[in-house]
Amino acid sequence: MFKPWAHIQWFSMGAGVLALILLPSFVENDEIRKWMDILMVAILATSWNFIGGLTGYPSFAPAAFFGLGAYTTAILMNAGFNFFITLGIGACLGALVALALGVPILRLRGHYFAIATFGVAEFFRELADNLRITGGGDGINLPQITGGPDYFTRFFYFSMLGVAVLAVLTQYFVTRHRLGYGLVAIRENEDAAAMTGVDTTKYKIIAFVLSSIFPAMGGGVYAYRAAFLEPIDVFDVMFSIKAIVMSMLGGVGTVMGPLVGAVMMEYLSDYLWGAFTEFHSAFLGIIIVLVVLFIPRGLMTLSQEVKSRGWGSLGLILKSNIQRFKV
Amino acid sequence: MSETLLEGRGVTKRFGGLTAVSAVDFTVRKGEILGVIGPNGAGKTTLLNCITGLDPANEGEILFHGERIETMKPHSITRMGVARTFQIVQPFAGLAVRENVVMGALFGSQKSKKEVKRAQELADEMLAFVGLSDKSAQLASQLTLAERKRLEFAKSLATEPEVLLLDEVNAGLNTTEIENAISLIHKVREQGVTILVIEHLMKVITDLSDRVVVLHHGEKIAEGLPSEVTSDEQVIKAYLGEKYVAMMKKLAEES
Repeated sequence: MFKPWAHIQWFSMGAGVLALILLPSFVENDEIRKWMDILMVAILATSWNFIGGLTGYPSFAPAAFFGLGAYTTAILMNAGFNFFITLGIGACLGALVALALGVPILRLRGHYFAIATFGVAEFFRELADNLRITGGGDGINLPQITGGPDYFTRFFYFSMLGVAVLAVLTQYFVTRHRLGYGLVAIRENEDAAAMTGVDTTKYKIIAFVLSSIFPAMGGGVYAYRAAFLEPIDVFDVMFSIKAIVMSMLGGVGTVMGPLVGAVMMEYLSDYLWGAFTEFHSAFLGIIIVLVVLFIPRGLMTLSQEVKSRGWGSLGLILKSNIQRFKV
Repeated sequence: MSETLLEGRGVTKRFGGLTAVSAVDFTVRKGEILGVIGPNGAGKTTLLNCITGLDPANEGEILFHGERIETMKPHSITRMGVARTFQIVQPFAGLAVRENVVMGALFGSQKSKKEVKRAQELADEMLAFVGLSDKSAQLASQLTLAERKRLEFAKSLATEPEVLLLDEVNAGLNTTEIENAISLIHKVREQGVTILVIEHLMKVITDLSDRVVVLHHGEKIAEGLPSEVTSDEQVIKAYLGEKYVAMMKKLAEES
């Protein structure tokens, strides 16, 4: 029997992708560029969700993998490699680094893990600052893309969209597979997960590797588009922080949450920047605090709760969220 | 005598200078309920942690089906068919009751590798078995203690174990709840699952077990049928103290 509700998620995802594919046909280049930025942070947020949202390990490493991918594309394109091949190599390199780092640092939990991953990003920034092959602090130039602005705006937009779709699809399948269940079990209670038969070490490493691949590819697209890289630009901790905040706003551990969070956050920060140029960071900060206080599990989770309990319960849900802090 | 399923030889666990379990030998035979009793701090839970690999033993061998498991990781031991419940229940608190059990079904016994849908069916069967079907959509954190203990049961049974290790399933329960728990343990045994149960309530263990092992200060001080063990002078001493034994002797002499 055909069950329409079972397919609604596929339908909405398909419609979303279709809309994003058609977008460049209807809007100006400025708007396309804006959506390219949204897609870029959506890639970071969705990837963070593998390790931070599903597995519960607060990683500050997205910037490390983003920068790694960016520099891989820069160095290899200067050596004459095809752009898309450099994306693939960047992804593999990100995965290898995550694998090698995951073994020691995934033994740490909570704050200690967060600090270790933060250290990883700083280490790579220092490395890029001091190596000759990366151009050191002077930065590195990339080959310029040929063609007019209409062409290259679309070229980079669709490259970013491709990586984003790959990231979201991977996330979708992982959450429906035993892998996703295992990651959630680790988040909820790591000892109990091991006792129910989850190979916790292996699963944590898989999650960390998955969280590294797509930021590395996104970094590669960013590099080609920017045509010039400096260590401070790409190994920027703001990339990690944005990934975390957007996941939280949209809904930690949900498939569409990080995506929704990325769109809302970018539009909001755009609007605030236009309205209060001087203070827009402060307003953004206040909004982050309010999100953490009232909807800590994000908009997607909130909308599911409202759907199952009715609009009348909205106040109650918000109230119970904030009551967690009362001692 | 039926075959030996789980066996320990000279199992020893030290924490710094303290020897929590000292050269303990034990055998669990297929199909039986083996009780392990002892006063608080006797090393019962530590012994379970050694068997399940959560806190591996320093010395000695642990064999399951004749295969050594003492250096294996917890998840491998679970997958071989050894499941346990925790004295302090360890649910996946933020997940629904049903999803808690699905975890056990998905990752437990690897004899039948399951996909999510099959695991959900098995989870529903297990919830019906322990009587939690009507709570399956609730969050695990919303259950009462007695219900959470039953959830632990369902979760470990969903791993399709051959032997189930129960750590003080009755701690913190009232009399009715204890009776329910005991009948549930009998029901599990009828399904062909071998059980090792840890208790410090003598009454419960004598009702429940086929054989009993008594631990005291980490050492095995007695082993045998419940009736033998409860009349053992050393056991009474361990439980009630030297003074009580002396008093009982005096009373016996007087009469």
